[in-house]
Amino acid sequence: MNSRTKQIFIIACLALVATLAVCALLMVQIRTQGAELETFITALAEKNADEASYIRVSRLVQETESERTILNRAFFTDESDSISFLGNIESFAASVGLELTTEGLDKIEEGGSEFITMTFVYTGEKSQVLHFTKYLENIPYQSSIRSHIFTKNGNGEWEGNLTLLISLKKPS
Amino acid sequence: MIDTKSIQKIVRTALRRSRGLEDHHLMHPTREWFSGLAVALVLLVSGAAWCAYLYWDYNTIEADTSATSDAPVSIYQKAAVDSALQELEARANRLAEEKRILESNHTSPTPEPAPIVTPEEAETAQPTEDIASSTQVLEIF
Repeated sequence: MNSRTKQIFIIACLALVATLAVCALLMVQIRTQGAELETFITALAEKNADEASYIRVSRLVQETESERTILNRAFFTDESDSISFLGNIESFAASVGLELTTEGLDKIEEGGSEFITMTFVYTGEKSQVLHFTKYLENIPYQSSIRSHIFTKNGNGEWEGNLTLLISLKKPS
Repeated sequence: MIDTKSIQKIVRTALRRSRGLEDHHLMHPTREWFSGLAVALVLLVSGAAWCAYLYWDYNTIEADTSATSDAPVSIYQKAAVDSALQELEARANRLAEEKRILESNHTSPTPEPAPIVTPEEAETAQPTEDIASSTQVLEIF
């Protein structure tokens, strides 16, 4: 081989090595970009899933708004609701000829839930006392009767003693 | 004596000589040139094929639709809600009925039979079927 051939051979080898190096660099770059792309796609898929979940929940909230409003009204929000309720009961009892007094008003906690307890003592005719008891039994709140006692007085009137539990709405 | 091995050796020698002089050169430019071209062509084609595959792979990637959200799952208990609404409606109807009876009794009270005068007695009324004696806290969400 003459010197020129040797030069061409060396230059060709160097060119080959340089090209292979560039090719390897590009392959590494492609793999890196590919990994980033997969990460972005995963994040995009999670975002889409979150959006779909949000849309589902929003639609559910909208569709159930009326039902939830009705159910929310079945609970006392706080103790102040009991005051207005007491006023309504007392005025209604007076309007139907019953003498009503509120002997107890308290807030208790049972089983992780809070309740307002009220004790009513009402006096009047037997049928009025019985029907008023049923009236208190069916008040439009999440409620239950803890105890109720009927007593017949000496003057012929009947007295009802009823303890009512009304659920207090849990704070959100 | 001429045996088979000797004959084979003679034939082999004659054939070798019939090929003529052997080429003792190490490098043959034309041959090396085309060999290099062939190797380069193979590299080029395989590289192009791999690049095409990568392009198609990344071009057809779609977001995974089976991905799950980390947000808490809300379960709406429709049956429990409907049951609660029905109960509230029934209570409202019974309340209205009792209110009507109380008001009508007060405005036009029905005469009661003369009460038997007895010593003061404590009487616990029997619960009606409607009384819910146990609290029910409905967990909607």
